[in-house]
Amino acid sequence: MPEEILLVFPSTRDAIAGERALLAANLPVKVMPIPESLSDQCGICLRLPPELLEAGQTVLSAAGIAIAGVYKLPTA
Amino acid sequence: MISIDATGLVCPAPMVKTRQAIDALPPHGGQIQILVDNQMAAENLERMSRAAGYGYLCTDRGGGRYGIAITVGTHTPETTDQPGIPLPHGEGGLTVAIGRASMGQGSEALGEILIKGFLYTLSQLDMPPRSLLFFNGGVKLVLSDSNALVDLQALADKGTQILICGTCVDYYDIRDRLGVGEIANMLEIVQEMARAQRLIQL
Repeated sequence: MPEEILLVFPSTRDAIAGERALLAANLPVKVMPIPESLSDQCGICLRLPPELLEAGQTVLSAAGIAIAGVYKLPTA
Repeated sequence: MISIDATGLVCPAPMVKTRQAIDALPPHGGQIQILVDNQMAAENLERMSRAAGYGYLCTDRGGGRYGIAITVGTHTPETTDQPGIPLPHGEGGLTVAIGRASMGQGSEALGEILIKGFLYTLSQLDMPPRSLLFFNGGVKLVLSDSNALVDLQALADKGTQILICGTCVDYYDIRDRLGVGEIANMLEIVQEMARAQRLIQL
């Protein structure tokens, strides 16, 4: 499984807005619950291919959407 | 041993007939022989067998026909390298029926992102669902531009059968936009529901 970058947001509302902004920019964003290894809080985070992290951050920044954290998707 | 002649049948009919035969086997298992006349059917049966840990043997009978022998009960399921989420009962037989592109009632925007998180998490189960059934608004999730497609494809690769309501596909006129799964009629959808050990309706 190829590595993915996880984008974690301050709130689920931000994650929803972030997904919409990234989809509108034609970036192949995907969704998953925040892994337990990252947080014991419930929440949704977004997945991007590593090479599109910078493009994604630019889109989110332009849309005024804050990111709480960027992680590599833990794989086995 | 059960023999099935599935020549002349197109997907998902060979798979449906094979699953029915597997369900009809005694608890200690047995062997099922299926004759198909298209490679796609043979590949689908191989994927399903591998995911379930059944023995699979395919013989080219010539003329585009393949004789397939599936042995149930003498193999243990393959383990994967990735740690998954254990199921409480440690067994499959789960079917999920998805009639909307959203999860739960309340905020539609929240529901639309939740269902994608749900589908991803399904793909991480140790024992993936036996089948996913998509109908009405749920078919939106299986379109080629759906960003849940990769996770649904991962489920299909693990042997989950993805059935899509053909009436719904025609109603929304999206037949050429499907990204994963097989078209199914109401009978096949109802049979799959009736056969499920556990059915989750979203």
